[in-house]
Amino acid sequence: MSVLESIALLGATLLVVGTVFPAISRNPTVALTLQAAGIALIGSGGALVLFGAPLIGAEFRSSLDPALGIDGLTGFFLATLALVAVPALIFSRDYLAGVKRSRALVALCGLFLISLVGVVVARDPSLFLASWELMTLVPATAILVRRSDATVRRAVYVYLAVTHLGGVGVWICVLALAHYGALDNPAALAAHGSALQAFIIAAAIVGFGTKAGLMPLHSWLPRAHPVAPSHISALMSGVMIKVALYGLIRVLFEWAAPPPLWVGFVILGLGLLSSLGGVLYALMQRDLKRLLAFSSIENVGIVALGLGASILFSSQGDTTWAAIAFAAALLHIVNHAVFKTLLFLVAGAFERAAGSLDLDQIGGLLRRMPWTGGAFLVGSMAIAGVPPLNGFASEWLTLQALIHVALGPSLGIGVAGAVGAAALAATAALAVFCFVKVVGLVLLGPARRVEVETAVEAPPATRGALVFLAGCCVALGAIPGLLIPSLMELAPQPRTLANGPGLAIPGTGSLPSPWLLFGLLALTGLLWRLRGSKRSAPVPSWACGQRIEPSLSWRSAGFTKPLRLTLEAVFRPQREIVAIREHGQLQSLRYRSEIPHLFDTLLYRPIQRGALRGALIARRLQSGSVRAYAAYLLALLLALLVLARIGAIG
Amino acid sequence: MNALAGAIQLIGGLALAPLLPGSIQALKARLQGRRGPSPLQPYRELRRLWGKSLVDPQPTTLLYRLAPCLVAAAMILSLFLVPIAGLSPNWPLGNDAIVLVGLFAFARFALAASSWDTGSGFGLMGSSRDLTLSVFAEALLVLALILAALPVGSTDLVAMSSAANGSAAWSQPAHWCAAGAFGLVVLFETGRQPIDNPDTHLELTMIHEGPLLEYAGRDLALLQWSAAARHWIILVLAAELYLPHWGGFGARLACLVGGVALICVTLAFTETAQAKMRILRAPALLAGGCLLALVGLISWLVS
Amino acid sequence: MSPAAITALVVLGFAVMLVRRRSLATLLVSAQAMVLGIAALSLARGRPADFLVAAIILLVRAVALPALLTFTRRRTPEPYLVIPATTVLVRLVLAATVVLIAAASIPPLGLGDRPAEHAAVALLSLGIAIVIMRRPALLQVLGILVAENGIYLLAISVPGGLPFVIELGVLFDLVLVVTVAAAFTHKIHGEVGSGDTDLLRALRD
Repeated sequence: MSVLESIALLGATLLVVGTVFPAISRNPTVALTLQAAGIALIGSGGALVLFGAPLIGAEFRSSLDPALGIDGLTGFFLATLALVAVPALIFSRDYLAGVKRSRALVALCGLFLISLVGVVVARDPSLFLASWELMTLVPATAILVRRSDATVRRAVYVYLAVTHLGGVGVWICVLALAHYGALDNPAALAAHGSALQAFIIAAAIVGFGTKAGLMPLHSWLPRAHPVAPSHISALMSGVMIKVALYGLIRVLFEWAAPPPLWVGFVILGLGLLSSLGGVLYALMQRDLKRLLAFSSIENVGIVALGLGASILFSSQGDTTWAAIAFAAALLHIVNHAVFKTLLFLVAGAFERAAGSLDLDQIGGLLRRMPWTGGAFLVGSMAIAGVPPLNGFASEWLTLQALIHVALGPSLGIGVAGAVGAAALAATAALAVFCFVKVVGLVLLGPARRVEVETAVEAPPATRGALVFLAGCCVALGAIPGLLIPSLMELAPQPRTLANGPGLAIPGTGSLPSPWLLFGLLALTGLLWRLRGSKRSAPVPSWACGQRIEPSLSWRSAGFTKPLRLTLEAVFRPQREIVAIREHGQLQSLRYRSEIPHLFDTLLYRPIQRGALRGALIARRLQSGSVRAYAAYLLALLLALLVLARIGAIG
Repeated sequence: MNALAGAIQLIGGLALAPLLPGSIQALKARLQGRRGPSPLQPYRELRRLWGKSLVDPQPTTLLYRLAPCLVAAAMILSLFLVPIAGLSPNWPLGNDAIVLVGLFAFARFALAASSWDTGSGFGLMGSSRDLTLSVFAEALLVLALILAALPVGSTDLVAMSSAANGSAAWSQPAHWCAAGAFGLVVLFETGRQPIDNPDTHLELTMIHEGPLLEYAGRDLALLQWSAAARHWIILVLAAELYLPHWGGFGARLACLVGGVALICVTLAFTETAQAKMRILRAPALLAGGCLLALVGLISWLVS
Repeated sequence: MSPAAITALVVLGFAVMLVRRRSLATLLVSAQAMVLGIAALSLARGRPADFLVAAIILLVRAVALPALLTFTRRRTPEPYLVIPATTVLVRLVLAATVVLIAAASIPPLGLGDRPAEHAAVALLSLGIAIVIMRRPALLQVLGILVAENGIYLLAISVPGGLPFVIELGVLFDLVLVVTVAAAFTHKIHGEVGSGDTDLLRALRD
């Protein structure tokens, strides 16, 4: 056994021990430490494989004998998982203190990590599908263990229903691939014609796309993510939906490779819809966690844009840019994992401190919680995609890939690339809009709630975890170039590119991110020195001489109003004003406005109605007697046997 | 040559930028039959503000006080990216067009966050309008940049500028479309009519002026310089990529000066002749620009 | 597999269909599982891993599950006799018909053991027939077990055996089903005072 294998095995053992530990001990610290150590070891094993160490364990196999292994892509996802899981576990220690059933939550968190690791290290269909189902069920359990009121039960029900319906696609796709032996021999599928390949790819897009939250298959995501405990939300948004993308990448770029051209257009289209739709709905949310959930849809869309661009490039034979676009997608996966985990964890800390996540009712937390608030500011800037943080690096690379798609010779592909690039640019601008709103309403301005005035800074361990993640945002933004060569090695046709810490890509003006970071810091410092020589006088805000009334202060709805009016046709906001009169005098006015989720009203509700109508018809078969059902079963069995006998089937 | 270009990038950007809004204002006044301020008025304003003391509105955080420095730092960095007459010394910052877009977004983020910090409605009104329009403007900007990148297949501003050199580029309909589309970007980024009115502080009309209202002294000086620098960057970029220029460094430098002057005159004329548009109509204008750019792209890909 | 064992399996299945007492029926199913388990053990001779799995399955199927059902039966005494839906003779004739149709129409499955294939499908259809024709909840659970035994017979007849994942997975499923069914039997008994499933029809709507 090599050193690497022993590291991975030791990590797995620690993780399992940490998961069952709450059963024998009341102390969550030991269990969480064991889990964190375990996942850190597994992640470092994965990182070593990613950066060139030999593969660990088995290769993929189409038979059902359980097998485990780590290759470069798995290593990348394991390293990403460890990078965000360790801070999330450290955070959860303080977060779960004093919470009911915290032992169960600690154990479930460990089980969730095991299932996430299981999906990416599985090397055979049985283990893959088993971990996949576990990965769906464990967070649902964790949500219900924490809270089980009617709204939460409803959210969990929708989550399980949608992901299981979509999950059928995963089963079909993986089992069909195993049947044709395509898991260990990618050429096997080619012999069976393009119709089969198209079928498998369509099943994969539906199955993995549902779990990844790609629009229009996303409806569970904004319901389930906000109600989970914060560290579970962080792992769901940060890692779980990426693991779904892992499955999609395996199918599109390995098992059913090379995908035909239309797949590139479909993935690009889904990415475009998800990124724009996700961020537009995120902008209109008032609940912080729900907003973050919609923003996850946006970021999955950006990853899909990169993957779609990669497919379009390889269909044109441009393998270098195909590898760059692929690397851009992976880079955005790790970047989004880092800042989305950070934001969800901070949201948990804020909920504790301020007692609410309603954006309109927080305000001014940066003064009370400088460390947590500062980390949140860094995470918000990163997710808004402003330089020099990590979100900008991966969005820059994805945008460059789309621009180079647009520069290509073919008309259809070129226009698709240009539309994608314009959409990504608009998405980036909307993300700035969205997260300026969040930063302003949560961190800045006057406190809008009494609890904020007495909010206390998070405990040191939590603070450390958050600052570590914020540091990752800065570091990954400063030196993305060190990752790119390894990520390009993972592309179906690996290409190497000489690269420094910045991104020097041929065909671009290059993104020298360390210099950008240094330049911004140095110039800001210089200007601060120049400016700061005069003492400033504290005064009340001027506001053109008007008094600042708390009741007239700006809220989420006001800030986004210009966009809501501009895009009225898209949002279709509903307003309702009720005037209550008595004796001819106006007593009170009630105003309600709502942005309906169009996918729910226009897409899901008709499907739901149709299904209910069908169920009403099918109900006539229901007699309520177990014996009648068994009779149906026997009749079916005999009919099938007879049909098989006369040669009609089989 | 490179050193000269570098010197103009930096010294010109830092020192000459305020001249652009100043001269547009002066020209506009003349066109409207007024005497108006001198083109050097922005320099006097900056000197006056630099000598004044600062105010520190309560309750604000450090972010509010840092915002002017952050905005100005982003603008100074942007100066290094834009080539002068097709040349740029090998600064370690590269010359990428999309990095420029990113730095502008950074400045926008910092300024909008500062207006949340004071909680003043005027600042937030301006920021929210600015951010709304920026959604369409950024898409338009990227499309216009794609069109300029078509001949060289690169988003390196130096290469793009060389590709626009000479008359060959103008035989392509795509280049005409790109110039038209970028014209709209110029209107938005410089805050000119019909999209924004730089002369008023009325709450109904203002966009870019709003977030500046609470600042005073050196903070305000930095922000006003940044607005002028934004003029410089966008106008030089427009002249470099989308206006005709020929020949070697000297000739191109002359073309650049002529081009920037031409845009200033055009802006002054537009401001005089064109009333400000309803804010909600501006996105439609910018979206129309996107369509124009797409038509240009299609014409290039078909030929 | 020896003809004697196959005959024994089918005969035991028919007996479950016919007997009246729940305790006797449980014993019969247990005996059936025992026969099947011993046959599996003898087939797995020389392959230690398969032998171990077969032994685990034997213990669960022939000992643990019947014990669980016996425990459930003790906790749910019937206050009065549940009148059978049909007489013994009718049950016998119907069961024989179903089994003959199924056995006659099964196409060759390619296991190389034609009698085992016939017996498997016979047990499967017999199990479902038991669920249809018996009213007490516990006997319906036993019917499911008979059907499961038929499937297990197919599984052990596959040359070389099936992967452990499947065998143990099916076993896990079975344990789950029987546990849930036992719990429900208890619940039903608590609600309506009898294990007669026909009384449940009133609960519809």
